[in-house]
Amino acid sequence: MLLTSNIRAQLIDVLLLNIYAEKRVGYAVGKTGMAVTLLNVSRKLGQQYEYLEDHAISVLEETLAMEMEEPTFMNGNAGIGFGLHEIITDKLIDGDYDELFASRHDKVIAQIKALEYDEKNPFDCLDYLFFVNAVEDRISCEDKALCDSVLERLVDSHMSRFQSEFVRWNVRNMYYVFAIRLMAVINSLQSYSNDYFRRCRDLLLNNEMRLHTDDYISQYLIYYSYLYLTDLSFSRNEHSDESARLFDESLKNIITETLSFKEFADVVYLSLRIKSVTDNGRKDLLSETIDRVTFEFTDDDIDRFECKLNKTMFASSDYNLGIYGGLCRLLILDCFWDDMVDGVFPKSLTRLLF
Amino acid sequence: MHLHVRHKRYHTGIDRYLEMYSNGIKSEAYSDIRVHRIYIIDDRDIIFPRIRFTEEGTLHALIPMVYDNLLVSLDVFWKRRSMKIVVDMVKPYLQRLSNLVFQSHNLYLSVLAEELKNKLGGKIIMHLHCLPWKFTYNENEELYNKLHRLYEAGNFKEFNELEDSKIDYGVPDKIICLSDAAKRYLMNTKGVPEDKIDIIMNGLAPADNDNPLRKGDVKILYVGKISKDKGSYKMLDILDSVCRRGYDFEVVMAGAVGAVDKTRLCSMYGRLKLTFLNQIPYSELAELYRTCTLGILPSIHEQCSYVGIEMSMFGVPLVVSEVDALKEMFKDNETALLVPLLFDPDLGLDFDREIFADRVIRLIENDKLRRYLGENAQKAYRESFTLNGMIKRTVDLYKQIV
Repeated sequence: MLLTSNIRAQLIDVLLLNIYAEKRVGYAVGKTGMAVTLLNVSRKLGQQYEYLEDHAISVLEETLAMEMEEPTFMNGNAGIGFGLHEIITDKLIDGDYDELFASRHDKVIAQIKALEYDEKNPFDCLDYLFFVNAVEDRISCEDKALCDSVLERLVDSHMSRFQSEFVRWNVRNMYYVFAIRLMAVINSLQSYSNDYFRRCRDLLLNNEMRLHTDDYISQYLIYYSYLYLTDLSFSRNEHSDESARLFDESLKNIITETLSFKEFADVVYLSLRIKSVTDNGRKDLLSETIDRVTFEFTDDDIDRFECKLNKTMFASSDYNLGIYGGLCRLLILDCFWDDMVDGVFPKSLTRLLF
Repeated sequence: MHLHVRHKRYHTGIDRYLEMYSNGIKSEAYSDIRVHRIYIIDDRDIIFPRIRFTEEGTLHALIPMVYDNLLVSLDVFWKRRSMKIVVDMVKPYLQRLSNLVFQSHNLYLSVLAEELKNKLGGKIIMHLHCLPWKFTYNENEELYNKLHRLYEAGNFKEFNELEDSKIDYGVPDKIICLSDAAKRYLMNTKGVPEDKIDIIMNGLAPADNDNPLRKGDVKILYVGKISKDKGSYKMLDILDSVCRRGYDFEVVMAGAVGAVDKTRLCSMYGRLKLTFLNQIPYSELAELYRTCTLGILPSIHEQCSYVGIEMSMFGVPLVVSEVDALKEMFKDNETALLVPLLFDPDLGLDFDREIFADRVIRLIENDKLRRYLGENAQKAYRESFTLNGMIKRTVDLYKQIV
C-alpha cells in the first residue's frame, strides 16, 4: 500500500469529520466524490472499513434528496450522475440509475445539447465530453451522437482560438490547462479506438511541436506526462520521439518540495501508468521518480505528515478534501496502489481520477 | 467532560475559565473528580485528531474543527451528523467510565453533548458564558437594537422570533450561568424553569496583590480586546473630552488591537497619551494592576468579567458600565463607580457621557475615594469571586445531578 495503516486511518477520520459539513455536493470537490471514495476504501481495504459504506450511502441519499439545478461536472448534476453511475456499475451499491437519477440526467443531456461557445469557459465542454462517454450506456444513440457533435464542435472551436493566439501568454496558459484536461478525458476513458480522440492526440502533439519550436514551456509538470501517456496509448506519431524526450526532461526537473498536492498525486499516478505501457529503457527513470515522490507519503509520523499536508494540500485558502485535488485523491491512489504498481489500470480506477 | 471550542487566533474568557478550573480542581478535596476534555480546535494547521489518555487516566481529545463550518452552523441536521462522527471517535475511550457529566462551554457544542449522552448516558450541563444575542452588537447593530428594545419592553415572544436561536435549552439537565441577568433571560425568553438554572460566578486564585503603588502620574488602565462591544472606542472618546478639560493622564490599553486600528486611534486621539501594549504576559499585567491609578470597564455587554475580578483582586479603583452582570458584580460608590447606559431606538446604546466623564474625574481627583473603592473591591473579591468558591459550587452541582 502507499500509506501506512496509521496515516490511512487518520485521513479517513479527517474525511469523515468533514463529509457531513461539506456544503458542496458535486463529484470533483463535494459530497458525491467523498462518498465514492469511502465506498472504494470500504470495498478495497477490508472488513475493518466496512462501516464507511453506511456513511457513504447516508451521504449519497441526502445528496440525491437535495435540490440541485447546476448541471456541470465539477459541482453539479453531471458529476453527481457520473459518481452514481460508477458505483452502481462497479456494484459498490445496489441501485437503479434511472430510478434514482433519470430526470436530472435528462436535464444534463438537454443542457449539453444546448451548449454554446463561451470563450471564457473552455472547460465545461471537456467535462461534459467525459460525462457523455462515461455514462454512454445511459444515453440513447441519437442523444449521444448529438452531444458528441455539439461538444466536439466546441472543443475544436476552443482549440482553433488557442492556436491562433499562442503568442499571448494568458492564452498559452489557458491552452496548457485545456490540453491537460482534454488528455485527462482521453486517458480516463481509455477510449483509444475513438477517431476523434486520435485526431485530438495528433493536434496536441502538433501544437506542442509548434510551442516548443517557439521556446514556450508549460509550467504544468503533468502536461508533459499526459502528452507522453496520450501519445503512447495511440499508435506512433511522427512526433512521438519528441514527446518522449520532453517527458524525460520534465521528470528530471521535478523538485518534490515545490509540488502542490495535486501535482504529487498526479505525478505518481501518471508515472505508474506510463511505466505500465512504456519501453524498458524508461522504466528505471520512472521507478526512481515514483520512489522519490512517494517517499513523502510513506511517513508514519502524524506530526510530520500533517506538516507536509499543510504545505501542499491545505496551503491554499481554498482547501480541498475532494477527488479533484485533495485528500480523496490520495485515498483512491492508496486503495488501488497494489494494482497500479503491477501495471493494472482498470477503467473503474482511471475514470474515478478524471 | 469539558466540551469546548479552542481558537488558535485568540484567547477567550472560556479558555481562562478552564485554566482556572484545571488549577482549582487539583485539590485533594476533589480527588474523586476526573476531568476529561473534548476540545474542538479552530486551527487550520491541525488536520488530524489527537485522542489519548493522560498519565492521570483522563481523556484529552483534540478534534480539528471542520474546514467549512457554515453548513453545520446553520443546519442542525448536518451538525448532528458531523458530531456523531466525533462521538464515534471518542466512544471507545469512554465506555468504561461512569457518572459522566458533559459540561458544554460553547453553544456550538450543545448537539455534541446531546449525542454523547445518547450514546454513553450521563448528564449534561450547559455552561452559558455569554448571552448569544448580545454578540449581534458588533455584527448587526440594527438587529441588536431591535432585540434590546423588545427585551426591555418585556416582549419576549417577539424577541424569541427575532433572535431565532436554534439552541434547545430543554436538552441539558442543568444550566450554569454567570449572572442573574442571564438567569432571567433564560427564564423569560426560553421558558427554562428556575430550578434548572444555577448561577455560579467566575473565580480566580488569589495573586500577590500586596502593596499597590498608586502614586505618581495618573495612569488609566483598560484591559481587553479593543472592540465595539467592549466599549473601548466610546471610552476613548470620553477620555478625550476629560483631557480637553485640562486633566493630564496616560491611557494604557492592554489588549488585542490591529495595526491599522492602532494607527487610526492614535491619529484620532492625538491629545491623549495612549500606550498600546497588545496582549502581554500575566506578570506584566499584574504589575499594571498594582501601579495604575484607576481602571475602566466600559463593556456594552458583559457576563462575569475576568478582567473585573482581576482588577478587584488587585484593589484597582474602577469605573464600570452599568450593564448585565457588571451591575451585579459591583455596587455603585462601594466597590466601583457605575456609569449608566442610555438607549435610543434610533441611535442605540451609549453611555451617559457626562456621568462617565464625571466618574473618571472624581477618581483622578480623589485619592481617598480610590483607596475606599479599591479596598472594598478586594473584600468583594474574597467574598464572592475566589477560585475555591467557584470550584466548590461547581462540584456541588455535579454531585447533585449524577
